[in-house]
This record gives sequence, structure tokens and C-alpha cells, in this order.
Amino acid sequence: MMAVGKQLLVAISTELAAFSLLGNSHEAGVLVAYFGLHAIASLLVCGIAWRLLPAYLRQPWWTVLALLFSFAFFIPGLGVVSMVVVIHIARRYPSVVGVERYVEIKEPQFHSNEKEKREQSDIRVSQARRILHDPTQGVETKLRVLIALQHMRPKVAIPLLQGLLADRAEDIRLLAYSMMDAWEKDITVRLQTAQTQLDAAVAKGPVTKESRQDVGFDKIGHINAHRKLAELYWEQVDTGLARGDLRTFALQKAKTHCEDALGLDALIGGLWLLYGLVLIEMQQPDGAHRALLLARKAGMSDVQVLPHLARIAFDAGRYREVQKWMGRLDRQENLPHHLRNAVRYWIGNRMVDLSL
Amino acid sequence: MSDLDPDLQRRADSADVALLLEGTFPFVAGGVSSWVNQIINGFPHLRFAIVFLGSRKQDYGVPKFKLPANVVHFEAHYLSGEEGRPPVTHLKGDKEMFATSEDLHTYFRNPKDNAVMGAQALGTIVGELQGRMNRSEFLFSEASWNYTTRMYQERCTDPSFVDYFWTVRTMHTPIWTLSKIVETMIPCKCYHTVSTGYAGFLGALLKRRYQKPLILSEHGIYTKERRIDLYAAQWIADNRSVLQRDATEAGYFRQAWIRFFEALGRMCYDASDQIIALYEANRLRQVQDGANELRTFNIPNGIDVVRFGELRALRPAVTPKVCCLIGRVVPIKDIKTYIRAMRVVANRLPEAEAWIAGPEDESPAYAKECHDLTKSLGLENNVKFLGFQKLTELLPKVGLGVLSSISEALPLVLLEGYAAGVPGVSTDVGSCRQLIYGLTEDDVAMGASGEVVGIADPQALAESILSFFTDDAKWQAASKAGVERVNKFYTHPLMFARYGEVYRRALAGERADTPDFTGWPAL
Repeated sequence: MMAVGKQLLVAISTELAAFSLLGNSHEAGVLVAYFGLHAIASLLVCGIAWRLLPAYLRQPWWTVLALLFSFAFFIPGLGVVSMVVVIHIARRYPSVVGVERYVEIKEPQFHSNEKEKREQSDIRVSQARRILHDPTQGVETKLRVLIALQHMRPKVAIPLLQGLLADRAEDIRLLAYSMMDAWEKDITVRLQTAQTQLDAAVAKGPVTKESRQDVGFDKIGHINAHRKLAELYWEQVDTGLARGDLRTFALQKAKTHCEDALGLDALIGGLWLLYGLVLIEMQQPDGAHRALLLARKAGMSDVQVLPHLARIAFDAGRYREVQKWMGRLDRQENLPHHLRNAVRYWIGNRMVDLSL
Repeated sequence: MSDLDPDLQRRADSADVALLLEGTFPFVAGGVSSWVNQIINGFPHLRFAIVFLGSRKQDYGVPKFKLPANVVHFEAHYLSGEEGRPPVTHLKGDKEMFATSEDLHTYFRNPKDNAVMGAQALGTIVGELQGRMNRSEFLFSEASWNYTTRMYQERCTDPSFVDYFWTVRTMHTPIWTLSKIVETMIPCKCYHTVSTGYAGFLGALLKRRYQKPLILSEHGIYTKERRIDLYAAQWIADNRSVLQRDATEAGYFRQAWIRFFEALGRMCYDASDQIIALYEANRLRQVQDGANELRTFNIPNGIDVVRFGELRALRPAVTPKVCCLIGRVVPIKDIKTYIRAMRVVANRLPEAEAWIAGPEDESPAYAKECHDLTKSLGLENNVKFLGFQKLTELLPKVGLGVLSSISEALPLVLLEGYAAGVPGVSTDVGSCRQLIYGLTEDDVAMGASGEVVGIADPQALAESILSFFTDDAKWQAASKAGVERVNKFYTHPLMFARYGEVYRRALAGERADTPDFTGWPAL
């Protein structure tokens, strides 16, 4: 503090000396001498201010020093007064000039669909397919695309991955395998859990004509477990994870669990819909048709059911019936985008057909 | 438990060959361990020292192999433990050493353009791992902190400094454990590592420290396997937000780990005097990963064809409808595909059986998944888990050997099956195609000793198994081709002759890129 006092004394003396020069003459030489002494005084004041300034305000040092010097040099007298005021405030009331080094910035909120789209993947399926099947693309490029597939829906990614299990590069084969295996493992774990739930429900009391009437019979437990199992076996089929005979096996399992659940409660629309889808895949269109109509009766919406009825009719070559179902869909307000074009196509064709 | 095993207390003042083994013999059963056992027994006149490197002590139980008599020295070290951690101290650190470390990292990022600088930096750092660049300097010095924070600011694309800090620490800490092993290592005439990775890096350190030849025998390609593991790993953090993330870009820490293992591999390749692959595709991969082509060559596995050949006389007249997968119950063997294939086989051939002969203790969670899958597919009567079995007792009862692995090198079990007259169906991995359809012209002329199918394709695997069980002529032809193939190309005498030459050259200090080199052992 003593050194600061001495330095201040020297600075004031120097500045006074500089001013005294201006009083005698205004010749160029005198002006140069004035600015020289004023610069020295400013430097001394700047040094004092620097020492008194709190440490957190000394960064970045070069800019801070330049600012302090500019205050002292370009605003003689008043600049020094300003510096004294600022330093006093900074030392006495740090919160007034406090600088928050770390601030919390909230993650921007996106529209949920937009966010999902971004998280799914930044790369289009067609683009991924083209790169992955292009023999001229290097392994590194393909690996990057494979990594991107991790963010896609399994139903989209799995057919692509299956095609890569025979890739020439072992790195590609192994990574494709490990990604598929992760999805497969996830379904298997969920299947085990659902099976355990079913076993637990059965342990309380198996399903018989008599037991259904028992007060302690865990009807809800049975239905939920069967439904979960049916959905998971269907997921194996729908994503393409189960192929060949295993696909047939999974479909059979899904069908059985649907029937078991519907046997306990025939008013679950979602289960009738699932049952209908399973039967379509099992090439049982009549049964599927009946199941889908029952799904509608049990409360499933037209948007959920009619496209599948149209598909059954299409597979059977009954195109007028397809038009009928599509015509009913046309009146739906909440029609998903991907269905809109198909509906428009069929309605358009009907008009052409009628005009003939 | 294993601490009390007198085998593991063997100590000697010196040895001829130091085998550097990471996560394999004698604690882990499997193909590589069996091969190590063969090699040690095949050279009874050589005195072997074994340096076993493991993750954590508790990950390994009792040894699965009895150490042969010519193993005169054994030591085990664990890289993930707290072993040898120095006390926290305040250190300024040596700025010059961290500048050299930066040169070394520049070399790892771009080895081709910085080869000379990299070699110098590596030499300096390695020489100072117990000195100016010791573990305390790395963990506690200001210079280390400054270097770490600067590298984070300049290089890291992940926002989490905390994750960066701990990743760097975790990644580098084993280096000092290895360096300590080097300082206490008994004198050996040459070093032989059976993989790159940490064991390979230890070999490189030993080579630099004692100037003795280093041999590298790679079964699988360590760097490649780590890379796939790391791409699929769930434990590696990626803290990028939606806006920062590029879907085609692996996270920073994932890439850092991959680069780390690539760097270890490169240092091992650079230091190795002889680089041996089991088959040509792997040799080419070694070259691609940085191995000097002049120092690379192939030596395929071999088996005891006499012992296994005797089993053919014990086979029943009618081929049993039993297929057998001989191997550990671990994910890499993809046993689940084998079980799924059996669902298809059993649909058409209900009496068929699928055996799984191998220990289940290495990955209990995976073993449980396999048991659960068997149950959920209703295969309790068709699929049998036998545990570890003596092959000489097992093979006469087996109709078909099956490998459903997603990765293999040159599987001994396929060859052992051939010698016992059992053809094999395998996935198209490693050298399996070569083992089944032949490599050279005369090899191919022997015919197929089985069939190759794609990985993770239960339907194709099942169709192939069924074709052998329902077509006796096909089975007989494959069995005959297998016997011929193994007797001609994959015998112990052939393998030992080649490795005898490898050891002779190592002990004589010969290397392929030196003027006195006279060629690799003939194949």
C-alpha cells in the first residue's frame, strides 16, 4: 500500500509538471514534452489501477491495461476520477460488476416431431442403402453410415443390416451383427419378462372353465402377459429379425397368445387388430378379415383398421372393395400423410373408372 | 484360490522365450490357450517364461491348464487394479516431456508423415516412463494438467471435460503398469506375444529396453476386434447435444479408444522382428494396419492327427444325427444362431440333437440367454449343454461339427473334427472357407469337407445341417475330404517345424529386412 502511495505521488507530480509546461508556451517542442510527461503519468496511474483492480477483472490482461491507459491518457483528470470510482465499486460492491464465468444455457426446445426426426437419423434410408451396397465405397465410409443406422427405427435398419452380414469386409459384418444382436437381445429380454409374468399368473391359477369363475383368478395378469408376448413375437416378425422357419414359429406364437388373451376378453380392439395382422402374414385372409371387422366393432378407429382391410382385398384382387375401403378413409380428417397419397390414388382411379 | 497354486509360483533367473499373454492361457479356455499349450509342449528343450496380463484379478478363477514342465517362470499382472498407484503429491512436471508426448500423439494421428519424429518421441518417452515421465508426473503434475486441458480445448469435440479427463487417465494408466513389468522382467533371449494390444505393447517396451528379438503371432486381429467392441459398447459416453451430433460420426471418446488401440498395435508391429498370421487374409490386414510386409508371413495351426485319427475306428456304422458346437458359451460364438437353427432342424428331423460342448463360466449372462432361448423355442429335448468335454470321448458320438461364430481365426476344433472323420459346417469367418473348401489347387481338388454359410443366418445353417443328415453320400465325401485335408496341411509336425525355425531365427537375431535374411520357413 505504501508503494501505491509513492507511485501515486510521483504520478500526480509528473502530471502537474506536464500542465505547468503548457502554461509557458504552446510551441511544438513543449507540446511533445507535455505529451511525454502526461504519458508517463498515465502509465503510473494505469499501474496503480491495475494493482488495485480485483483479480477477476484483470482478464484479458492486454485489453484491460490498454483500456486503463486510454482512460488516463485521453481523458486527463476525469479519466483518473472515473477509474477511482470504478475500482472503489469493484472492490466494495463486487456483485455490481461481477462477471458470471459459468452460465446455464437451456437446451433449445424443438417441436417433438422435429426432434424425433433429428434423433432418428441425419441420413436418408435410400442414401444409406445406396452407400452400403456400393462396392466402390470404402470401409470407413460404410462404417460411418452403419453408425447412423443405430439411430433409425429397427424396422427400417434391420433389412439393411441383414444385407451387410455377407459384406466382404469383416468389420462391416461384425458391426452389422452387433447392432442387430443388440435389438434382438432387447426383444428376447422383454419376452423373458413377459413369459415370467405369464408363469406367475398361471402359478396363481391356470385358465380353465371353472377357474375363470374363481374370485382369485388373475384375469388381468393373464391377458396382459399374453398380449405382451403376442406383441413381442409380432415385433420379431415385423422388424424382420425372425426369418424363414423362425418367422413362422414367431407368427404361430403371436397367434396363440392373441387367441389366449381374446379367449379371456373378446372386447380388446387392439388385440383383434394384432390378431388380424398376424393372420394376414400367415396367409389366412378370411380369418384376418373377420378379426379386423371385430377390431372395428371393439372400438378401433377406421384409420387403424381400414388400410388392412384394403390390403386383404388388394391381395385377393378385389379392387372395387379396395376402392370402397379407401373411399371411407378419404372422409377421415386425421389421415396420416403416408396414407393420403394412396387414398388419393384409389379415389382418383375410381373417378376414371366411373367415367368409363 | 489361484494364488495358492504351486504352478503359479514358479520363478527363475532367466528363460529362453518370454510368452506375453493377454487374457488367455492358462486362465481362459479356448483356441488361443490350446495353441499356447501346444507350442510350449512342442518345444520341450526351450525354457519358457509366461507373463500373463489380465483386467482384474477377480475376473479369473483357477487356471484351466496345467503349466508344462518347461515353463520355468510365471507372473500375472492386472491392468485395471489399483496396483502400484502412487500417493498424491504436488509436482511441477517436466514441460519438455509433455512436448515430446505431444509429438508422439501427432505421430499416432498421422503415422505416415511423422514416422521419424514419432520413433524419436517414442524412444524418449519409453525411456522415461520410470523417470521424468513416471506415473506420478502423469497423474499429479501441473504440466500434465496443462497438457490435458490444452488438448481438451484443441482436440476434444465432446463437451464434457470431466469425461475427457477420466478417459485420458483410464486409457493411459496401464502403460505405467507395463513399464514396471519391463523393469522387473527376468532376462530372456526373445519375447513372443500372442496378440497386439497391451501384451504387444509390453513386447515393444521389452524390445526397446533389452534389445532382444520380438515375435508376434496373431490369431485374430486384436485391433479390429477392439474396434468392433468399441463401436458397439454402451459404457462410452457421448455428451453431444442434438445440434452437435453428426449421425455418421462416432463419439469423440469412442474414437479416442479406437485410436489408442490402433496406436498400441502400430507400436507392436514396428517393434516386431517376425509377424505371423494364421492365414493370408489376416496377414494382409496386418500390413494394412501398419506391419512391415517384409516381416510378415503365415503359419497355420496344426493338430495331433494321430491321436484324433484313432477315433475314426470308434465311430458307429450309422452317422449319429447329432451336431456339436465345441466352444466356450460366449457371444462371439453366436450360440444363439445355432440354437435358432436347431428349431428349424427339429421341425423337419425331430430326432436330431444339437450339443454344445464348452464351459459356460466365462459369460454367465450369455449362457443364461442361451438356456432361456432354448426354452422359449421349445428345444429342451433337442439342445444339450454338455459343459467342458474331452474331445477324444465326444467326437466319435458326433455326426457333424458346427461353428456359428461371428469371428474366428483358424479354429482347431474344425481340424480335430476332420481328423476324427467329422465334417464341419461353419459360418464364413476367418479361415473357415479355406479349411472347408481348400486354399491351394491340390487342396481344393480334395473337395469340400463341409459347408460354409453366412453369419447370423439360422435358416441357412439349418438347411446345411439337414443336408448332411439326410444325404449320406454327401456326408461320406465331406468326411473323406476332411481327413485328407488335415493330414496334408494341418499337422503338428508341420506347425512345429515352422515355429522351430521362427525360434531359431529369433535366437539368432535374424530379421526379414536385414541383409543376412535367408527367407521365411517354407509353407
